[in-house]
Amino acid sequence: MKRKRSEKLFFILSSVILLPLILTVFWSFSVRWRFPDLIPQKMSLYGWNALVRSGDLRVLASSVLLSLCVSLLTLLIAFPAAKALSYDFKGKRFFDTLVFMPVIIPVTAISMGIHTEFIKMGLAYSAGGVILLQIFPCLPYAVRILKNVFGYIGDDLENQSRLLGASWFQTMKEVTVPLIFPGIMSAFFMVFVVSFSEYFITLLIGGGLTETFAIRMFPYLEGSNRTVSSAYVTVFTSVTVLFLLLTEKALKKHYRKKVREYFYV
Amino acid sequence: MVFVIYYGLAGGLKQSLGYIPGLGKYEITLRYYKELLRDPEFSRSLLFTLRYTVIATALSVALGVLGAQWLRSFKKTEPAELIIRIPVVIPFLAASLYTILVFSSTGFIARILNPFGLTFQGFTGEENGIGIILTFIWKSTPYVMLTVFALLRKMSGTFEEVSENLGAGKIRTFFTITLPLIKEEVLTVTIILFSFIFGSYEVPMLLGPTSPKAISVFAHHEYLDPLMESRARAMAASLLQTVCGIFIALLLLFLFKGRRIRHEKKKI
Repeated sequence: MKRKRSEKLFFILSSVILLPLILTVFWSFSVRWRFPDLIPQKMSLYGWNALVRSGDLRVLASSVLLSLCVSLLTLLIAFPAAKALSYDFKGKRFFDTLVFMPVIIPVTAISMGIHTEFIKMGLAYSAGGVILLQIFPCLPYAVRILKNVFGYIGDDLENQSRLLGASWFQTMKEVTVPLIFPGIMSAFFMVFVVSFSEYFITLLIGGGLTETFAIRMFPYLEGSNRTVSSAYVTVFTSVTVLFLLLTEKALKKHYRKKVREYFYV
Repeated sequence: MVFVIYYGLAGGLKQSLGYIPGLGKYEITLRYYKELLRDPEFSRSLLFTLRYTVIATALSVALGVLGAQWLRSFKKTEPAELIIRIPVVIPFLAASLYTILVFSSTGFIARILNPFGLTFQGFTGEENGIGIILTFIWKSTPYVMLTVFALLRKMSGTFEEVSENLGAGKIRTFFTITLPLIKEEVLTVTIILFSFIFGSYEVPMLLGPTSPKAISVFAHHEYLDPLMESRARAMAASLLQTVCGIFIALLLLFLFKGRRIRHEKKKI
């Protein structure tokens, strides 16, 4: 009896989660879906046509590129930071909080404040400025994930490697990175999503000259055109999901390699 | 190890570059702050934002924790985990659209109820911000569930088994044993959620009413005003928002950590 109840709850849960997704896809194909009907009256590719014709697919590509840049840069900074934070040292609490700051401070406050500085530095209205500032909200996520992984793995293997004579670069390449790999993938994905969905920073700093897909999508969401909004959102979500699948695949490949190595030892 | 710490510092420096200039744009007079505090629009925004943040956070955490507990009773957790990960992965801009599609006055729920002669008012753009709350719940509850569940999985169930063996009912066990064990993690998640929702701009912008605005929206609105004065007001508003957020986060932290400190002293 209990199992049946759990299953029913599970069914409700899945539908709550999956329903909007299916609905969105439906909407993206419907041209007329007047109020009380449960099924669209007229379906066509109108919404999708509009999407393709507006040239926003190119913006999509550049947004993905931009977010990839952000992800890479963030990870580069987060990696050593997380490693450092997984040890105990004198100012640790301070740095911990420091890294945590972007989560608590509203993005809007930072962006508006730094906007003028950026203009002075010539970073406003450029992709560089956007990338730079996006690192800010992305960092805490990356550091947090990597820090946990570092803490979990421990540094024995690395110490061993150094003791046996490897340089720190070799150690990093052959020992640390493979060990941390799932963490890296996870952090990479997380940062990508945050960056890709980031609207405010791009809006303010990009100022109309730098656009991401999220920026292009927003006005449609505000307006009442559900068809086109749904098309955009479907693309938006698909990119995210695709990225998730890619990272998962990379992980699986990595594990398969590792398992083989273990067996040979 | 020195190089590692050095890079850590660099990371921290990146942070200070981020938020100190943010503070550098306010005038030397406190006039704007006083104006702002007296502005009824501002206080309404603040209250509104606080209100939906608290409700959304509380509900998400409560549901999430319960959900995590429920997940433990599953034999095969894989499919559940997969489905629950979906809202976490989906950007919340998209989630806002979902709320519109499902919950607005012409949305899915309205259509289902309609043949029964029930009218459904719709949750978008309305004064209580229920739509905003729902969107955040949809996205945050699974996040809480996953985080807490991961934690629960690592814990061994021995304490709970003992408790039940000694006769405590399932509910009592949950409150006296399970909850205190996960308290710290739950607290962290709560703070994160709260800060995030409090400072969120996109969701209330899309789903919120024109008045009262959420604070982020309010600040941004002021910022765009061509009057130079309004810029200062916007900055003041943002700063107040930041201070508020930090204050509440610290409050929550001390409220709960304080208890722990007392506990540890007892042990000694």
